[in-house]
Amino acid sequence: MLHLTVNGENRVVGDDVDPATPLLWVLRDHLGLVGAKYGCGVAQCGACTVHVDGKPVRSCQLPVGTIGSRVITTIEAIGNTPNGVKIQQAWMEAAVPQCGYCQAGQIMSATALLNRTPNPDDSDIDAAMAGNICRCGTYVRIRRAIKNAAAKSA
Amino acid sequence: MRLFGIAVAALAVVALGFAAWLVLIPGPMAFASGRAVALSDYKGPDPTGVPKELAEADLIKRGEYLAHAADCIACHTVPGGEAYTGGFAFNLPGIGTIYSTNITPDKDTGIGNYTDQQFLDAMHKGIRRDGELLYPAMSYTTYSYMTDADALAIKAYLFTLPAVHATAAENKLAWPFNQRGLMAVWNVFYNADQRFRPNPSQSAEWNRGAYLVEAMGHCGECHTPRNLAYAIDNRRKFAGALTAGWSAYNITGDAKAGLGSWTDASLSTYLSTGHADGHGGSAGPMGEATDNSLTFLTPGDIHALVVYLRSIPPQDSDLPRTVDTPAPDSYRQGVPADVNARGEVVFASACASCHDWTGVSPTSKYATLTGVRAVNDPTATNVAQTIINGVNRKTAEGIIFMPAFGEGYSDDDIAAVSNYVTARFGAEGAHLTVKDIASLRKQAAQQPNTQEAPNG
Amino acid sequence: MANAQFAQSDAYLSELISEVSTMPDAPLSMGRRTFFKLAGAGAAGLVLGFHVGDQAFAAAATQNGNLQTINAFIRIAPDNTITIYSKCPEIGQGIKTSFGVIIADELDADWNHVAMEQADINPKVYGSQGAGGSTSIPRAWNQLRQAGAGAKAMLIAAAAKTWNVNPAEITAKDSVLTHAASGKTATYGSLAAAAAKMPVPDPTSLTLKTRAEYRLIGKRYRGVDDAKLVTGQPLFGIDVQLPNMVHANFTKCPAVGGKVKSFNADEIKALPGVLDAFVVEGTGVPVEVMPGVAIIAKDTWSAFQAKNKLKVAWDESEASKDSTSQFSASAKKLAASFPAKPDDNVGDVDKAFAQAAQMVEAYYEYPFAAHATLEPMNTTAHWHDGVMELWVPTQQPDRGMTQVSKMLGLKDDKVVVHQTRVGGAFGRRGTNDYMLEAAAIAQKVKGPVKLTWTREDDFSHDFYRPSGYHQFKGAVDKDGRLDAWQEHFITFTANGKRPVAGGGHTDTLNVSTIAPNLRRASTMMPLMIPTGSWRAPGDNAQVFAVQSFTHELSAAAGRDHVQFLLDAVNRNVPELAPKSKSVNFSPARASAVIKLCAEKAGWGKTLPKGSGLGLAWCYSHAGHVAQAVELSVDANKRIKVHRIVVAIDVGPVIDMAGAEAQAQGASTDALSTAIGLQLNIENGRIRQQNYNDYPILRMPMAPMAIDVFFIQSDNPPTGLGEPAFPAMAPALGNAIFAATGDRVRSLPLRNLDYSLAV
Ligand code: FES
Ligand code: FES
Repeated sequence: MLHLTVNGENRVVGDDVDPATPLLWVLRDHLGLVGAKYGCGVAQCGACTVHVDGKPVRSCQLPVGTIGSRVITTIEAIGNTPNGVKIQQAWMEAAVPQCGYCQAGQIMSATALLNRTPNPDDSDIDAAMAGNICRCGTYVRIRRAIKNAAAKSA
Repeated sequence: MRLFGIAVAALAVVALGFAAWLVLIPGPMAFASGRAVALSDYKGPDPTGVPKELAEADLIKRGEYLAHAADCIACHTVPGGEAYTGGFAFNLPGIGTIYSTNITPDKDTGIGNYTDQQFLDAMHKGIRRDGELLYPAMSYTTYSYMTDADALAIKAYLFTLPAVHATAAENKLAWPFNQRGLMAVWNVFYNADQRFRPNPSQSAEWNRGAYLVEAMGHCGECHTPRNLAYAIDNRRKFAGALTAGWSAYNITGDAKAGLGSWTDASLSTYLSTGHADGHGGSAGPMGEATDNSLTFLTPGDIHALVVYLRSIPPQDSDLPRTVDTPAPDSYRQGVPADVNARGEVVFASACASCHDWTGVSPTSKYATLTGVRAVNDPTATNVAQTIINGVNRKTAEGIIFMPAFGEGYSDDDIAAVSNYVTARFGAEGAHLTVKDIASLRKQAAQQPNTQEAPNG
Repeated sequence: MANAQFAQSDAYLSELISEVSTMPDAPLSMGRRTFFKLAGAGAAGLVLGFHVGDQAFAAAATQNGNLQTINAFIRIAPDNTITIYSKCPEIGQGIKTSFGVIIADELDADWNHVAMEQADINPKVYGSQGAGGSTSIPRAWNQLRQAGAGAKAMLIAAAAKTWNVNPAEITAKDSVLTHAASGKTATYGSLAAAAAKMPVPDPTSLTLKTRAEYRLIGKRYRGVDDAKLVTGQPLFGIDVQLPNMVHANFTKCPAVGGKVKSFNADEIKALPGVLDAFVVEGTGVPVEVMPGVAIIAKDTWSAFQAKNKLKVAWDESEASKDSTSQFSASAKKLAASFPAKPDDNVGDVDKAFAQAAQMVEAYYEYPFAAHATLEPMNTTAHWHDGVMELWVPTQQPDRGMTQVSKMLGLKDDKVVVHQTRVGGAFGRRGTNDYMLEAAAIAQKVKGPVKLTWTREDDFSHDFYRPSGYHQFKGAVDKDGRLDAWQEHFITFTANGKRPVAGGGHTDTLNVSTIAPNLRRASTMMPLMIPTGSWRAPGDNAQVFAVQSFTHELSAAAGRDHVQFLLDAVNRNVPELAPKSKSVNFSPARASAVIKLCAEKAGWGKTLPKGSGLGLAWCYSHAGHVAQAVELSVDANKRIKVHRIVVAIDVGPVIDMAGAEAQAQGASTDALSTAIGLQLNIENGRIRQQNYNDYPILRMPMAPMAIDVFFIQSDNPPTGLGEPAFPAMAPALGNAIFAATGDRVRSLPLRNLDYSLAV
């Protein structure tokens, strides 16, 4: 019996779940939170990004048994945070998504960026977003949306 | 005239001296105080054979344990290939490539027709069934210390394997190395062909450890530098060496470059699991040695290994002390971007997700870079190799996986990121060039392993 | 045997590609037929089943909160909120938004109170529901406008009746009807019930708006699903969750064509979380179901873990042995001898060569490519009550429905397909193999089962963009004009007759490469690896070769490249004029985008040493597009892209924000592909297995800006998913030549030691 803190709630993961299971699959298949996406399974695409104690983490790489009391936030609840909602707004205003599949991960990485760097410059954006692939090529708009969101915070 | 004579004589002496120095190499256990004795004259508990846990086990089981201890599979299997069927490539710069052979009991292409004596001759003397001489890529100079009983137990186990028809690839060797006959001369100097001799003035664990390391595990084959004649030079025993494009590090007691700073506990965990907190995980050949051999050893035998390794006289090498403090958690601090902007971008793109800007992985202890010897090796040899080949270890804790970047990333990118990683997380940044990466790729080249990566 | 099957699947794909690549005259009439059907069906209450007075309504009404259905595209609620159904799959091309805008404009609806929903899959009602070849818009354009206009007409008729005024005096705006004279107004919602009972107008009787009258078309919109996307709501196929659902993955032979001899079933079934494991023989056709092992587990991870332990003995006697290194070697040899029988032969090429002022010969090649959509292939299937119900992220749901019923021997109405949002397609999901696999597996599973491919499955079992090899010989006359063009295209065949899917000379290139003396031939190498439609099939790579070589000719002639292109485009060579009415290639539109692109890119300005400006154009998927790249290259062959300009004519733009996004996305995709992407095949196996092997462009290397300009014409609108891809690579190569004098004749640039500067 595992206890996880997900989006402010205490979620119980049954014993039928192997503690080695990556958080991604526990979220998607057992907790009904499908916002974090599977793209590569090897930490190369960023689609599965969630926040663990505020840090962006690739949930496809994080064995659920090793999380302990660390606090998990997913795309479903990032809008409850000041920067999360700003980023979501900016994403919609800039009409960033094309297929949209990568965007949950992009938004989690972008929110984490604003949390530590309120006014990111291009190199901050590169460093924070390089791990998130967008197959549709929405990078131009992602960059603009992050800057717009930052401008709002200021 | 007379002067000339003296000069000639002097030269002769020097030449002889050099020759002698070259050929008269101390034995692997010569460093230890006290006189070794024949096994039969040794009063202590038998340092050879299997540990007491297996004392009652049948010949096959014992043979299996010993085969693991001797790590036959490491060289007699290609990555992703069928076990014990050979084909592993030893790329020896300037000499050529030697391929390991099929040691399944197949009668045409394997060892199915070997008699016990023929098997012992191969193990102890490096003589093939057809009388041809083996190259010391087969570590018979080590196995010559193995008892007949243990060697034959291994044979018995190998003969229970499914016979696989697999012809060994032709060696590609330059003259004169393609003249197998020359090995006869080499053997005279470099193969003692002498069974293990225990040392009564050392502890029982020490002797067991010595047997496991020197007769079985053949650690020296990678960790001890070789001399001009390609023989293991025990004057620099375990001082570290470059083997098959990978660095086998200093495993002497040296505090700076070796194991001096390791606790017994972390050493045991590292040997048995391929990972120890603060030292990171093993990859490449050592990763394989761990998963194919060391993990199978009993705790008692692992302890014996530690005891023996601890007794190796320190050898200094030019490796810096490892940095055990994490890097700053902002990419802006640590390595100034202008030093290696490309390395930083590649790291941000492909590496930071798991290794973090601090080097302490938020996802897996195996992915933590802080304190890892390879990262603190200013040649970045193993860092580059790990980036090129990735990690795909099957361990008790499940699959330890890092993607291989050799296919998708240019030598330029791999050099840049290797230099960046060593600079950011290690003691000193490397200066690998595109050329270096190309040559590292060659040295470690094996058959392409197109197995699917796990999804974890 | 195997080859016959492969030919079969290749025929399917070629047909699909040509079908989706041709232009939309036909769909117009189809639209009309459909509209009648749907209207008739609607009156009978069959469409969505809740019409006033309809028996089915009472029940439906309670469920549906008294919603009125005007037709299969539009549903109006009493509170005046309007739901519009998008009949085609949303794959990232923005169709769900554009379709809504088109209907809402004719309907004069208040966009702020329009909700978009994915329509069910029912070709009888909607006509073709595929997305591909950038044809969704052109095919649906009239049908959608008629749906909107027809619904509006029914609302007006209802109002005219209740107010008993002349319908002609009623005006509509923002979901409100007004009769100025009497000052009467009413919302659509209040009239919906009455309107639903009005006779359905004859579509031909409807006068559709002129461009000047558009209220919504051409403005900027945010995607209709964006709010759900940014909050992580379930939308995609992989997000489907059903009660008691189990999870599956499917392992096929890494070399296509291999069959299962045996596998370690007992070991696999004993693994934690594994519920079952069995062999699926399949149909042996790559676009359907190839033989493999299905693992059923309680969750995806258990299935993936079991897959890692799976040991299958494959019978590879009929499996692919293809090798890309061998293809490159053979192609180079084959290219040398021009075939006796050309595919087309115009004028007198040999004479032109004899009299040429300048002659150039060059050999071009480009590699295999994968789609690598970020959402891996997946489908959820539920076999119950003799019905196969599927939730699928596909581009061809209606086709898939037929394929499933055919494979399972079911009546069409026993297959129900729910279209999900699609996490990237690029042509990959025109093929429904994963959908058929799920259906085959579901028949052996109790309850719903979700098949999820691993990323490695996805790379190993794609329908790839084939590599290609082009030997060119061209001549320029004494006036420096393109005079002769000879092209020997080395490509592949699966059946020995036709080129493989995506491996044929494209119609678009045939009409847009205009030389008075022209000779084209192809030689085909046998190929087993399945190929398919990959973003702008054929054009995506052939335009690189053709437009780069065109630049070699203009350079040899010492001509200004833009002038050279304009000359060529406007050359009148009757033999090369489009044969099919469905091809809307226009020299005037081509010239216009070339000129606009040159002007916006500052063509002719002097650039610092080491910098260069390159320009190329294409006519692709009914769109006319020119692209320009300004860059500089340093001594280490590191490329800094300073600017990318795209000029486009696809007729009137529906959603300006979406159209720009497509152009920017396609340009980025094309840059990514040209710089670093390739697949290597060895012994029938794909070497690249995941994104670490296939370095898709990332944020730090992505262009800072991509400037897109549209020429909005009165031509019917055409799609934009593909046309902005092909001309990017040649523009890049031409710019590198301008900067360095080094000619790029093969892709990816990574193999030529080029890389993007950081
Ligand atoms: S799925 Fe985790 S990074 Fe791609
Ligand atoms: S929007 Fe499609 S992958 Fe990013």
